Amino acid sequence: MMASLFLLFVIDMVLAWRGERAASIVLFFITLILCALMFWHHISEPLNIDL
Amino acid sequence: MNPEFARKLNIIGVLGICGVLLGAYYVQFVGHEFPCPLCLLQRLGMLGVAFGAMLNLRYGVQPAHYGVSLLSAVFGASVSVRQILLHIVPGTGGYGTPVWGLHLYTWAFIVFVVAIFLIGIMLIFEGQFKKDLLHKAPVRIGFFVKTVFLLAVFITAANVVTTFLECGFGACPGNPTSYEELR
Repeated sequence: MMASLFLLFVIDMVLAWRGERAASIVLFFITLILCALMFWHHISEPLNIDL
Repeated sequence: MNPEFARKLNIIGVLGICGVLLGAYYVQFVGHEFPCPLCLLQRLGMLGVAFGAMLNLRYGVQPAHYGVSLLSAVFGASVSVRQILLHIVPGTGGYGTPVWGLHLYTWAFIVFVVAIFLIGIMLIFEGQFKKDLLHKAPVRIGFFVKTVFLLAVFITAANVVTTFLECGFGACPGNPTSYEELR
């Protein structure tokens, strides 16, 4: 699943290279939101720290 | 600051991020350490910072492109702070081997804060935007910039492969010890 986020960045960069500026920026925002959701998924696990 | 000088600084920025990501690969393959999920998210933040600079190289220097880098740097800094705080309690150890006394996630936080600082400085110099502000079409770029662009794409594509080998189709393990897809 994490690999797909990197794949989205590859597509982002290829779109930017091919002159699709607007599409690459929109896809960037989608990618960033998915990254934030992935971050949320990982930080919502309970911490295993005995204080 | 003229647009040409700003473009050169953006080239240095992309190369700097590529260097950091290659350094992470050095630790992964030479040091035989597996990147954790938060480490991979920090790599994604780095790629976002580089992507904004790459847009500047491809379409001319524009404030919106710095915005792309800035948002990515804030995201990356948030992830690295989270990882620093996970290990801040004395005796809880850290993830991975320290490099020059600091763990990679601490270095990542420093990189993101420096990126935010530098982007803020760059945004002050409005002279770089006058020529390219309304320019939405790709600009002509030389061989060196093409090479830098391709290097960033290659490193990102390499991360697709290595992350898939480590995590497969599911969620990445919190404390990976092997490549899931090579077992």
